[in-house]
Amino acid sequence: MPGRQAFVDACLESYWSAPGVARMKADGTGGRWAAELLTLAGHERVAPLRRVLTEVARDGLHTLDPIFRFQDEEAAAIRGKQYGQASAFGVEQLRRSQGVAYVITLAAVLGWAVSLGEDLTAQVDGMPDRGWVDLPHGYAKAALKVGDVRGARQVVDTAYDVLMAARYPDHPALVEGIAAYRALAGTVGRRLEQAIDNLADDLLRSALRTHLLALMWTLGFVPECESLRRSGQPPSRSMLRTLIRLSMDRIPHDPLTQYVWLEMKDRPSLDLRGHHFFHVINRRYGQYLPDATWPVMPSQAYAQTLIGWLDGELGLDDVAGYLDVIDRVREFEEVREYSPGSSDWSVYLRMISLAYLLAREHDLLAGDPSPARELQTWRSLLDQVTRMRGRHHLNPHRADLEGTLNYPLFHVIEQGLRPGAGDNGLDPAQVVQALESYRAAAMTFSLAVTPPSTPAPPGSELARLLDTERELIGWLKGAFFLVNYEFLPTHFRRYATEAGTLAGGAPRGLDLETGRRDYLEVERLLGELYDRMSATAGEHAARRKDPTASVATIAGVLSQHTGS
Amino acid sequence: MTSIWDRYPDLSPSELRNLVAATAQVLAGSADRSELPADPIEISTGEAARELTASIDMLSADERGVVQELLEDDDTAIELCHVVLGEVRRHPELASAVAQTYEERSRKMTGAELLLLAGALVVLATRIKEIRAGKGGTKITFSESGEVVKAFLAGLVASLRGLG
Amino acid sequence: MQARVASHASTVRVGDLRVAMLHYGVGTEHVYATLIDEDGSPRSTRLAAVEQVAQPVERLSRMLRAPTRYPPAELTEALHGFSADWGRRLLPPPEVLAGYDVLVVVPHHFLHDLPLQVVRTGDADECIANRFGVSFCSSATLLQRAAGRNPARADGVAQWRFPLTAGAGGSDGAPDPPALCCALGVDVLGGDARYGELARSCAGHFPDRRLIMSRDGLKSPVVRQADVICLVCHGVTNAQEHDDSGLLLVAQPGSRSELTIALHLGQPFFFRDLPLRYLPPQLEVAPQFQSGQQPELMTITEVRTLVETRAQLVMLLGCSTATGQLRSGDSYASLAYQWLQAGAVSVLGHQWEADFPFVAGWVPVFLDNWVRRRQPKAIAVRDALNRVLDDGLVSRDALHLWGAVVLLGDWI
Repeated sequence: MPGRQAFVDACLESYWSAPGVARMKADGTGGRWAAELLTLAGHERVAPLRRVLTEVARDGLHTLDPIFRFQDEEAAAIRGKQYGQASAFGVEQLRRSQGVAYVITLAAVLGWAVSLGEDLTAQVDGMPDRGWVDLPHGYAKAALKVGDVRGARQVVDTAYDVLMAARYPDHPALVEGIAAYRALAGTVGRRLEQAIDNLADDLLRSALRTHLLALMWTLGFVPECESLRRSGQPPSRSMLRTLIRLSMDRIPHDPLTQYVWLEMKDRPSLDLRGHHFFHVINRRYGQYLPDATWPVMPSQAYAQTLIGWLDGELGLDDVAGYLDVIDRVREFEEVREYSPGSSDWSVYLRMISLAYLLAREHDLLAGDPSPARELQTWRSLLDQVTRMRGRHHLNPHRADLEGTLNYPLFHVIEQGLRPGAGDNGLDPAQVVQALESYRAAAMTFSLAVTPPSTPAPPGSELARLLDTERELIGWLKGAFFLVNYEFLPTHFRRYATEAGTLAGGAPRGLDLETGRRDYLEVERLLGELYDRMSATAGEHAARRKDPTASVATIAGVLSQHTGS
Repeated sequence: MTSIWDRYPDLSPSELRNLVAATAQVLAGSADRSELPADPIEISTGEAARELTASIDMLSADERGVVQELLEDDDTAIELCHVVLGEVRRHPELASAVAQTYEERSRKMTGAELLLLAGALVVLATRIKEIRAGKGGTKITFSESGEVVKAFLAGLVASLRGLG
Repeated sequence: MQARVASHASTVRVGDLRVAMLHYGVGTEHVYATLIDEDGSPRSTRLAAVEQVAQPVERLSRMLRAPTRYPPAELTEALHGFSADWGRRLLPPPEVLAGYDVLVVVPHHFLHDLPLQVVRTGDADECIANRFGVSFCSSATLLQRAAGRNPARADGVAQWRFPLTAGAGGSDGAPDPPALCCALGVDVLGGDARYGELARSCAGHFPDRRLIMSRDGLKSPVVRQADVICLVCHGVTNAQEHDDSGLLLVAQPGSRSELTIALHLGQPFFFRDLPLRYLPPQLEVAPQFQSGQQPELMTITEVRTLVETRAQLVMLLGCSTATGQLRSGDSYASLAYQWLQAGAVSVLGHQWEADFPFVAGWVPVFLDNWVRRRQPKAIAVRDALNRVLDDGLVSRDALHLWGAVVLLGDWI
């Protein structure tokens, strides 16, 4: 269950990101909202919150100090029922003044969260605190009105999860609340879709076509980007929506995507600040240490260079400058996994891929610049990509890599399959194998747990080995479940384990590290098993060790039915 | 055979969303494309607000934000949709085409429409002058209905001036 | 090159069928297809410039995923344009394909979304789905895995004969037909009882049939051993968190079942079998599901983590069950492919909205072809489509109604 702090942070997201709150801050103490708030602060239904409401009105929302003070000094002493009354009063003000409603419901929900402390999401006799029915709901409604769609969604999702995780969700006290959250979740979902659509349409209208192509390139839509580059057309609305969704998901881990967006900030043809997602784009995440510590930020250099390249405006000096940065990036990559930051190897891959393309275009490649050598470079990168992808299923805490590993593959395909490609030392069979290896890496788990059917006489050595394989596959599935366990929904983890265990006591070691350890151990045991199996069932063992399809094995499957 | 119009306006939220979507499809498919923006049902609320403030004399460009909020707010968006649907009902051939589209969708094993396409619907209703609907392609003059919708929208905007 | 099977033959020997794989690759500039067949010598063809097809692909894909955003006539027009015009650029020349009876299509990148089965080719200008037995697979590796688990291939199938035309008699030398079918049909959104009826009707084609009543029932031992799983229900797509997309099913009334999972290298742990995601809150369910039997969502994550199957065929008879999202590793994440990855040999799904009257009319014909007449699955799909089109269930021109059907995985 998300802790109290995560819930409080979700509520406070609006202060930083909502366009309506930005307007309130701009109006400040002279705004109509402030005057109304001062008047309403005297109402008896908000009496326990009088001081904080007055202070917020007098501060004009320039700081959160009044809220923090309230949380530290007063919140704990106010009863839940009083918070409920104040929140209900706030919701009633929505038609009259969204700003006033926002402040009242925010103060109420934050105060209530603080008053419950670490017991915020606890259950008493199987039921959550009564405040969950009304307070987050009232706040989320107001947050939506001031334009905080993401924060409202988090609050609604959390509250819904808490109520549904009750032991008795059919309890009359909860039924109406759950229905209300369902309706509000619908509203929030729609507003989120609208926010995406609005940003997509504004991007379409902007004069930032090249920036959008840079986003496509950065997120792995390389063929599409190249085709638009040549045709001069902008991306479609549908593509833009996809780019927005992927960006919002990836930005916390992906500085390259973030910095391409940042290049669109404060451009005359696009009011990015007026959009709900600006806060996601503009926040500091600390994904990649050199961006915080080097004089030239590599991610910014990447974004600017990529945009310049796609615009056809990159000079030799620009290229040389970028290549210098990449030299340092290459060195840093040796130690990146030991450094703070949430970025992954795809950052390096994309930077180096761009560097290679630029060096080739400007005859700056060291060594042999022949097509064969170039193809070799892309193949080598693709091999690394395949290795990297093969371990990603053990990182459920990271967003999917999406298309960010695709670069070498597109080049291998283009250069390996075009007419006359055989001169470069690559034939179609090898291209097929390379693509299949990449795909197999993405299916590591499912291929491991779904063995082919191999007949074995009962009581035979092979039958025993296959029985052992079945057992180990069961363990592998368990390890995979453990790897993902911490990321399963709260209600599943709260109740699913109450059925108890054979060993008695609370289940232990239900975490990612244990899961990973178990997974790698079982993989090792399976590897040993397949070695033992080589003598009795060589084909089965070979396929289990390397399930990747090749032209030869494909032909075998396609002809198996002929009996030849 | 029953029609969705038999139950109108007592519809569930998802029925209303589906009816709005069906109406938008019929309007977009029956009108002269040159009168409409490209892919009119795909436009966002922001783009719809831009279109509406540009094409409705009673509205100024400054009111684009207000119009967008009206299209995004569940309550006012529903009000606007009902005004358009009310005008559609006044034209039996058009209403029948909408009902048929609605019924065809209900045969699909699909989930319900999750978005209320208020922006698209209002743009279509206010831009379209003539539609051909029904089996015989009956010509329907829709411009008067469009004026009703424009006036309602302008009224909503006016009522919000000075609030909040 | 001539197909071994003459078009006028009334029965066909499986061993005589010629099968080829179209293995696609999208490069930085062009789309390529490598044809691989039993000869094992791959032949690559440069098909089209990405510039020529990328935007039409995007547009068609969008229209199929969001049909309510376009007038119906526009969608029909777009599909026909793909079928008769630009879609042809994405196939090798007709004479290259003419020699084959079955095509296994392995798309790449943006091609995963495309209904290549409705592209017209050949002298008769038929759609691929009407001319060939077709199956799709997101990778040759997955196809290889699926074929390796197919019990129908266990004893060799070369001498298996099956009838092509009605009245041509029965099959000979076919593997044992699938015996156990587990079926679940529920319309959580509209409460339409016909979903359950269709599920029961599908199960009726098999000698041993079980009706499954709930989501957790799909993990029961009997379903794990089922030869066929048939689900008639709605699909839900979560655009932001695609792994939370899933099938709309129902909960078991009364007590919860338990999962036994071996953790820490073999220690059994028990878990209550709860759904991994609640029903999307913004969905409105039919009145009969608002109390009593509660709706539940079976997500892609749940299938990946907790489901295993040996089924020869999983039928996902709902909208867009074969539509997905492209993830890293060119992995096409859809409900249908997730069931394939969970161990199914083949999956039947829809690439866009399924039309219930068409599904209800077509599926029994397909099942009769496969189960009773013992046609290989891809041939059964093709012949069922042709038969219902000839019988006028829907017009051949109504691609949007019949073109959504796809078979994934092994073609036998």
